[in-house]
Amino acid sequence: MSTMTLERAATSALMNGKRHEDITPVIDVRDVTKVYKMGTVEVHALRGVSLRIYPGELVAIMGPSGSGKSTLMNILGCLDQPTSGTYRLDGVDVEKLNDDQLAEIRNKKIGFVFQSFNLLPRTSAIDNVEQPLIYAGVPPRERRARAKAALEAVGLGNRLHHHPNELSGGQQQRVAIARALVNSPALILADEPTGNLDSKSGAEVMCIFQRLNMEKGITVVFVTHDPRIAQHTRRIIRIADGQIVGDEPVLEPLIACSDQTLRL
Amino acid sequence: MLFAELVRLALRALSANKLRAFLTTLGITIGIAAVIALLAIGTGVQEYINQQFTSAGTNLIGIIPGRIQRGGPPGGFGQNSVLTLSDYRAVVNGVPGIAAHAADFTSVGNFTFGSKTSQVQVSGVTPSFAQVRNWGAARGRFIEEGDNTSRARVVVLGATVVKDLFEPSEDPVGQVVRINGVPFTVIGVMESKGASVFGDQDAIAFIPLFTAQERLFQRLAFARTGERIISTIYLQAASEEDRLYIQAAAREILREQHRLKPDDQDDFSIISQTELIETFGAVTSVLTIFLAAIAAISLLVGGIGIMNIMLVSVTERTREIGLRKAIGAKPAAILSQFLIESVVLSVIGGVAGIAVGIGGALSISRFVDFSAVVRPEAVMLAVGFSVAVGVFFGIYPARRASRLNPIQALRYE
Repeated sequence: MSTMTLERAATSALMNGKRHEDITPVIDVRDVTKVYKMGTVEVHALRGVSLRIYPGELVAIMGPSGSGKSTLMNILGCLDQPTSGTYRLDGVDVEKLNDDQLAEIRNKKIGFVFQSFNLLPRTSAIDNVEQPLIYAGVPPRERRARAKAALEAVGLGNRLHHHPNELSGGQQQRVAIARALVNSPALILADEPTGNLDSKSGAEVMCIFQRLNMEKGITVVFVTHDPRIAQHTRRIIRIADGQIVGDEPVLEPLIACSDQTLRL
Repeated sequence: MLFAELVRLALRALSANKLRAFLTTLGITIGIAAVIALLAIGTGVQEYINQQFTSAGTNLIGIIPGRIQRGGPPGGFGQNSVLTLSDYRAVVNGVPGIAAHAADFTSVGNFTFGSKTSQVQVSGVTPSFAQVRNWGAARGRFIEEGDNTSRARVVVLGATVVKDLFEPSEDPVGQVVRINGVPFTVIGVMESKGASVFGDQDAIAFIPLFTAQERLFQRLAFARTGERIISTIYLQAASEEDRLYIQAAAREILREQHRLKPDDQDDFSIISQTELIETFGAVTSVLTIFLAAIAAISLLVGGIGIMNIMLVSVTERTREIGLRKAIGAKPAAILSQFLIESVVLSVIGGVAGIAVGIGGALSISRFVDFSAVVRPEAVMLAVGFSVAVGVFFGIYPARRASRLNPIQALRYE
């Protein structure tokens, strides 16, 4: 176990215990509600959720379907805005932002990983990874270099020019992870990232998430209903009926990387 | 987002479905090709007409008896008004600045040579006619001053008359033909002008003016006062400004000659070549614009095709749009992406249409007398039109794409 890893673990444990007032949470949700109007019926998807996630955390948000976890995920991802309550993402008040500003926040601060990968078809891995940088206005040369580095970080340095249909599911998801991290976001939001993968590819993907979290200190939030995924994190937040019903640390997280170089 | 980036994106998206893109652009291609071809042909006809007029000589003014109402078809000739040789002399001597002048007396003659006959226009002309009308003898010679003073029975035949009367192997020069029974020696053959908007210009023969008046058309060529009648006075100006001055001065002198009171209307008409060109030009350009406008309707149809395909494309790519929004594309970026895509479609169609249109116009020129002229303005107009079609019919689908809700778009199956 390296010194670096020790420090991380220590910080994390400290933060899970007593939270420092001088550390800005990546996610700071207070009393958030979300009401959808379906015709005349009002659906209360979230009924007052408060939640803080600090830098460097690896968190799973769990809950059955219909529990409001997708709604929470959409709000955390700045794809949707709460009906009431406040959400500060990396210190920025999100509910005051307009569409353009939200797009910018998503671009700069959040990396999304989806269950169905959502890669652009007929587009090479490196071009896929470059997409967020295009919207960020990064010049082409730098874009290439950063996309290449991101793909190397997920172990796909030798697949730069492969198209999605030439890659396995696990590899496609790794391209998606590279895309999520290419713009150095404060937060990676992963929605059932292993849902479409076999167990071996799923383990590969989880290994990458753990590695990114450990080695680069990237904050990762999983939204999942799969307990095995949740056991790979260090904190599980349970949600049911639009409310948080549990928030506990994972004392002995599972290690996805088979080479045993990674310790949590 | 950079424009080049958007164009690259659009090309990639379009190349994903090449057949569909091709069929969509076809509508625009046909529309633009039709517009380009019709404009090219219209311009070609116009230039052909201009050329026909200028080949009759430049800065030419013709004076004929009677009055032609302007802005309408020729008609309403004054029955009794004539131009006479003294009118001609008065104008030529009284108006300064005339570069060259000629006069003719024209009627119809029956030509016979052996057993062959031909009935064509016979013009008795002054020798300067060749210079003023920019038209001379291809073989032999034209009428000369001596022919006129001696009332020589000599004739210069137009190409059609030669074809009517002689075998191709025969040389008409030196032969004697009869016009209305009077023998004339052929001294030359005119350059062939071919058929034109005015009909067969070679169906004509020239003899000296005085010969025509005294030896062939004695009964027609003299007014009751005994004056020699002139059919047309030709005046040539050195420049456009001179032309305007000469026209005005000639009118004054002729009104005086004819003793017209100040509120009498002219009993003669002064026609300038420039005005004729303008009149014909106005007609042909109206016609050209009209045809091009009809062709532009097919552009509209092509545009609707683009809109249709773009709407399909937005629906098909809902997830892509959702993803792009999730990774930080602003609504404006999505809007421009789809807008550029439809503009690229229509511009590709437009460029192909320009090529097809030019090709079509050129191949049509091979079968007709005039050659189609593709003007750069027409090409620019076509490019502008295709961009406009792309924007106009692309904006609605693009707006739809930019307004998609990212959450729903990402879930779209």
